Amino acid sequence: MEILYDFTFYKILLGTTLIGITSGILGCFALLKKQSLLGDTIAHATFPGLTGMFLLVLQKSYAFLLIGATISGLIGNLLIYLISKHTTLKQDTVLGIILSSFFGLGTVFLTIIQKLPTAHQAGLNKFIFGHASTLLIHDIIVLSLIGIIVCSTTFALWKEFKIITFDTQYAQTIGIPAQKIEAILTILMVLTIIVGLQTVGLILISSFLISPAVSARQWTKNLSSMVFLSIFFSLIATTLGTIISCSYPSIPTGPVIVIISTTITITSLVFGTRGIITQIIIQNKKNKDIKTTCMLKNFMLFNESKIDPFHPHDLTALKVIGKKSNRKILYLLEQQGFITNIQNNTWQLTSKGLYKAQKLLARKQKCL
Amino acid sequence: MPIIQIQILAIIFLTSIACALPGNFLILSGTALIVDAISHAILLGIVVMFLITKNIHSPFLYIGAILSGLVTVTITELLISTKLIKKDAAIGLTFPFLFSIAVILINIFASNIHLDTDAILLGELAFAPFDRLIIYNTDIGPISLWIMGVIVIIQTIFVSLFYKELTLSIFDPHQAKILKYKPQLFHYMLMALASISIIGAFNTAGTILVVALIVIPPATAYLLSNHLTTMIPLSCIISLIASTIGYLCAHNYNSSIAGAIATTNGTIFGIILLAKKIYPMINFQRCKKSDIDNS
Repeated sequence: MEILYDFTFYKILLGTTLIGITSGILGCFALLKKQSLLGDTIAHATFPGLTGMFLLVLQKSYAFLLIGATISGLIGNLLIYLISKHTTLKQDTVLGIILSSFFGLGTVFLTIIQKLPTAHQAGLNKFIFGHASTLLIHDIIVLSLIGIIVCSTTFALWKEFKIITFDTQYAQTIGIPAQKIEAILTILMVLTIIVGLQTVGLILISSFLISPAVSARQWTKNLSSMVFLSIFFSLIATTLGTIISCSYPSIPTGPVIVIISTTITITSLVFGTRGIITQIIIQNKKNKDIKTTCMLKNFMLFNESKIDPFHPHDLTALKVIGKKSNRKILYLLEQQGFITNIQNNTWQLTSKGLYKAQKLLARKQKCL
Repeated sequence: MPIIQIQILAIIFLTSIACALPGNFLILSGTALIVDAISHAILLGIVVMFLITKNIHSPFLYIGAILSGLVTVTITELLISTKLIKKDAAIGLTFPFLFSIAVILINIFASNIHLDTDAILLGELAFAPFDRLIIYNTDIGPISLWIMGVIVIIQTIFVSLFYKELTLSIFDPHQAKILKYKPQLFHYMLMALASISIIGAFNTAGTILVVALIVIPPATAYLLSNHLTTMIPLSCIISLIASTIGYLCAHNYNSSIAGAIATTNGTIFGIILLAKKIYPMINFQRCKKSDIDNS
């Protein structure tokens, strides 16, 4: 475990956990507002800002690049909002337009930079794929500042964010400036994406926003629990990912974190409280309920032509009425005490069963 | 104009049309960003095929790309069918996962091989004319020209044959289901068409230009027409104009052709949008006599 004594490891860990926390928080809101891919689009939209700013100042100063990226990210956001407002194009399409044209502009700048005599563009390439080990101390400070801004704004405006996400119109009726709050949310998202650009690159950053939020959603209906769970899952993924990535230097950090994060998501989807396995269990239980009800009703149907309600019925006779007469269902009913097995293949209602069947008939439930 | 530039322009024209045709249907069905997802996930198919065949010029790489496109769409649809995730989140989960696997595979197994990820993003349009197709020792032109030509023909055939079904599946999937037109099948067919264009074009155009060509010209045409029969040819025309302008700009300023065309498309969209705001009656739709009589 030599890496625990390595200073670079802690630097990278700090960088990735910062983005994990911020994107975990904002991803929840984005997911609930069905704007998950907005993160991907903003990430691509920051590219011309990065390369354009470099073209302007011709030095790879992290601060300048970040400012350029933020400006172009905000412009991209504004254009998305304007285009959505003034056309009837679908959200996907608007995002696609901004994504591709902005990124195209960025690559035009990039290729112009590549032809310049002072070709330092190798650093700019790192923003596409991410290169966490090149983080400097003052980069970490900038990132921490942004992290603090995101967390404190979310804490201060928690109620507003919550109501905007779930019921925008109601928020407007009680006087909350919905559009301004949404603008704040998107600005925070732009800042988070800027944070993540150097650590994981802009292609993978949408996963940081979406994966932890989706995982958290499978376990709770409560927004605050969802946000905390999202941060938790994000921290697991970033910590594990950073440890693995630093132990094997040939593996880049971003992709490992994404794979771990997505694995957590898949696990949550299958095993979560709203997950697939829970759905299967509930569905099975419902099916059993329906079948037992129908079986009891079938008994009653027989009894309509007889005087004695406890007359035993043969299994084949039951099969005639009920389309799906299962041995299993019969045994289940016997377990519950509603019928008794007299001989092989002959079944008889008990008094308890008779009472239950009469109640069910009164309920008018449809039979298969 | 020297012959090389004419060939590049020809390849660009064919790519533009090949992308615009399925793009019309894709943007109307609200699944435009799956194109972005497929184009990123293609890297995984290429890497896996490369690791199997150990040959960077093998045609199996194309097959790998097609397979990874299908895998992306299938996984996304699977995630949506669990009803636990919405469409956009499903897309945003799938492609980073597949892309990450690809990047890690490259770094572990192929770090010394020059699998140029830049080329996949940005394309190598400038070098496209130099890959020639040689049959029986005669040079009949750049490979990309032939590939894109075949793809354009495939697209045109599919769009004209299945125009009714595709339109119905997009605008009214429930009606399609009632009439037994299987909207799900045509949805997949649309994805497959888009994948063919993406894969055919990624070598020359790069993934970003492909997304731009599929999404933006149809969107611009959408602003200028009322009916799909006008929108489709209009999107092709707009795409050709934008590609020409983009190529000329890139040529004069010596920059990425793919990026320039993408930017030009976006700019033209912006201009048309502004123009529509100022003169809302701008429309290429011919009025039918019945429209005038009824209004």
